[in-house]
Amino acid sequence: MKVIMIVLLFVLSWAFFASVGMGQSWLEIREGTKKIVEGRDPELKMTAKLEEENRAFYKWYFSENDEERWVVVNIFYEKSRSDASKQMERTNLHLPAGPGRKRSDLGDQAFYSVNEVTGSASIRFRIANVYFTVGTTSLTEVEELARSFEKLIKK
Amino acid sequence: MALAELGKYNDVSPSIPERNVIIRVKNGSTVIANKDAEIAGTTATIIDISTTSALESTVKKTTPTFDWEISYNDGTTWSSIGSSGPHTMYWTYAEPLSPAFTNEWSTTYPHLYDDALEYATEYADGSPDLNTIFGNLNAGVQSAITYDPKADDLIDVHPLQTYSSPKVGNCSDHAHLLRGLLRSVGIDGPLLYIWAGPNSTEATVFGLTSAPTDGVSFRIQKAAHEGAVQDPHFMYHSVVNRNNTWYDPSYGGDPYTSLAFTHVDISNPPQQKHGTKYTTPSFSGWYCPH
Repeated sequence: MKVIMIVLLFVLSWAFFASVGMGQSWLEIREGTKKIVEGRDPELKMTAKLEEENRAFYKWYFSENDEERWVVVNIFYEKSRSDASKQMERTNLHLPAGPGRKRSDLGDQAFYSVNEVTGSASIRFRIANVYFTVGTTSLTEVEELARSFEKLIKK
Repeated sequence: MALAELGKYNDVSPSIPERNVIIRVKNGSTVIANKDAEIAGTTATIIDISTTSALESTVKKTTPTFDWEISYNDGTTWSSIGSSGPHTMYWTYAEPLSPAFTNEWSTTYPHLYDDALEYATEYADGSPDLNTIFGNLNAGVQSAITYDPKADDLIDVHPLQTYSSPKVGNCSDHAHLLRGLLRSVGIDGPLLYIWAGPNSTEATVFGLTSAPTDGVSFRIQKAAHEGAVQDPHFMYHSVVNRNNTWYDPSYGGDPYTSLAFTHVDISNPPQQKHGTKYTTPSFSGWYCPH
């Protein structure tokens, strides 16, 4: 009986850790994200910050003369891959111009869109149980940021 | 419009025996409140001094300084006991509506926010007229927030977050912000979602590229505006509806009463206009030739 319980406990633990991001806490993900953005462009100033139990929202902005740079990040730290996926689908439903194009080179699920007028771009991707949205001034920059965030999550 | 209840603490010197007095408050030369009181000693606390005088009849912000006076002889003569202020006062069209703000995710925010009153009264610019207030707030939001139909940053956050830089939002961000500002000054304006689909819960989606997720439900004829291309495609568009007149803070300009679609899916689904959005987008398999 004892052996069965131990095996069951092991299987349940494995199932849990297989479904969520391992190796880092919610705090580490948030701090890591901020460090990446601010380390990459120290001139950016944080203009909005919302940190809750399982989601975070940040805006950074820099403006001088005609130059304008910004980064906006949302992170959803869900209990499971399935919950993170649902959060992503929920976002897709609310976007007036649609979810954008799918891409397969980032995380487990990803969409991106580029504004044809301004050149600004955003990527929304899920990796394990974490769902990120990243928006910034160009596709190149948003791709670099998204790849850095992806590396934060140890599956 | 009613002035909020005032409280006033006065130091009286030299010490006086118990006696009846009248305290009055003046805004400029206008007496806005009187209060009979009994005072004694060197300190008197007089509370519940209130006024129902309409100091303003328009939607605006004022910062008056009030002059305080006391009469020891039943109002025959008055002596100054100082002034207070400036008091920041926001004059609303009617009692603020709660919850003032709701976001696209249906999260409600019941509190009344100074920031919202600040923006709304600034935009209203002292107008007493409902249509003008609507138009002014619509223009104010349009001017303050850059429209980008592809913006996807404000996920389930307070609509006032749109004001933090970069001040960019999609149509829903604009419409929810306008509605919240209007409700903060006591005016309701429900949101209206517009899309193409067979009924109030479904949207018929056609493709823009070979990637089926890159879908939309209609195209309209509009000049390019801020982050929106000329004649854009949308999944939906949202505006604020006042008696079937649509205020569009994304594009600004005059309100309109209809939005003509230039293209929809090849199955020709009808236009849907509802206070809540579809829940099921269905991809038709058709691709727009543009």
